Amino acid sequence: MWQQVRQVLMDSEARFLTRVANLLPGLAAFIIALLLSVISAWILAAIVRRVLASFHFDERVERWGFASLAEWSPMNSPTRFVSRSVGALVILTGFVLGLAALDFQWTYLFVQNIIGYIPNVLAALLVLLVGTIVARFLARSLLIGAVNLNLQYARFLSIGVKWIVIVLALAMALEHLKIAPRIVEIAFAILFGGIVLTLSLVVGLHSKELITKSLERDATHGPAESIEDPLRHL
Amino acid sequence: MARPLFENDVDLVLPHYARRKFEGLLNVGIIAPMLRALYGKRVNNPMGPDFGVSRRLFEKILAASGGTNSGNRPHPLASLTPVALCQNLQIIEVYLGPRVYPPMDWSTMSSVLADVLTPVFLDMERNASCWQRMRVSSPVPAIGTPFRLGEDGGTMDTTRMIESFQLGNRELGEIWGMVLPASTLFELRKLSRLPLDQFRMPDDLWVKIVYDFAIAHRLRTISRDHLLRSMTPLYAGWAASYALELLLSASSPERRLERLSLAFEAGKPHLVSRWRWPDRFNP
Repeated sequence: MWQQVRQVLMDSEARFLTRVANLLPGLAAFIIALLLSVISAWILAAIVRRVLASFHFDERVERWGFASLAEWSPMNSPTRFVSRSVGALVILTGFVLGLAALDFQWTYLFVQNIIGYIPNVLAALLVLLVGTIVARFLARSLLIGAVNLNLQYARFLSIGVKWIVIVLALAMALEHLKIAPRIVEIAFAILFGGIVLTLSLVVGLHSKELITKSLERDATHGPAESIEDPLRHL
Repeated sequence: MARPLFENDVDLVLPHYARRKFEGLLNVGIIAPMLRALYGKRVNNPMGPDFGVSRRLFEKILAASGGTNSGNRPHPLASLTPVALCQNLQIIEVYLGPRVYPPMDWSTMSSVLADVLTPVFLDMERNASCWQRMRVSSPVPAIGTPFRLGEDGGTMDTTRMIESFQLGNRELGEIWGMVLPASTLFELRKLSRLPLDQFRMPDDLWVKIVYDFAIAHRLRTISRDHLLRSMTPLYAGWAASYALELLLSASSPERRLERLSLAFEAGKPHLVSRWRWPDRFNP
């Protein structure tokens, strides 16, 4: 009987050692992939930092109106933020590839899901970036145009338009990421409609007096004679 | 306008209109004095629109536009005077009567400003090596008899212009801050708080504003269209200050504008130093 027990124990020990031996090459490949990715990340981050510094990236970012990016960045430097992001991305890629080398089914599925999700993440980031740039450009155009038309609520209009575009871009990005799509859709509709209604009320209420005066003038007088303004510009 | 081209063998004939005190303000407030300071010739209407052009000048304009990309081609009207002055061609002015101006529309003022100043600032970039050499200005020969207009009366409502300036100060400070230094912004804020009867924009302040906008246009600090349109409230402030000064004092428009032209000439070293060392241009 003791012979049988010893045989069973030796068999399970052999199976365990076999499994460990099967795991070791994958583990070694994982560690090597991770080490290589750390070294590549360090080199790539240094190259990106030098290239961006030569383009005066920090000053350009501030001039383009992304001063908040500088505030969030380490040491208030968007260059460092971008170079460290590139480094982190390379390390993450190395980690995922290393996982694939471990040769377990669940790691295959995990890596497959991550790689399948990456295009969605990239598309979402692109949509957010384009949306932010368009929002800032439109807000600035509207602000200047409204000020030149002597509209007292120019800044309010400009902020409203900026947030409409940003909310739209955010909803599109979340849809790409497949995060709670129904909730995002409903929340976006409510928020968007609310912003548009607020802007309409602001414009309508401010124009109320103007329209009233214009209607009163048309009702009591004929068409007014045009008053020649002696001011000429060119 | 054509006779001097044949009889006097000149290359460019420019008009000298009989002008009332509130006419052609964009020309007398920015274009004429700035071009006088830059190119060293006291031309009254450098952008016409009535011109007499010789074949020689026409060929030089064509040659200048042939080697450049479409965005940097000389403007057919705006570039005539700078090209003629930089090529040392003969220029003459002809006294003409009053010019017929289109009715004024404030809602399109920003478009007018952008359309007029864009070719002027582009010419500055193109002819930088020419205008940086000029030191003093000299008059341009004129032919004909000066046309005398009748008494220039009437009142001016500058309220809208000052309101536009004050609104611009409140809402466009962030944009102006990318173009103008802190000292200029401070002066503008002080100016916006003055009562109507004391509203005066000093000439040197206005000159610095125009020159800084020209530099920002060259450096593309922000979108060029946004840059020039954001200048509209500043121009409205200057126009209001000029109009109030003429209405409330006995100063003649010619003497007032001569002072402004001298201010543009005096401010030229500021423009040249910032043009040559743009890294130091850091509002």
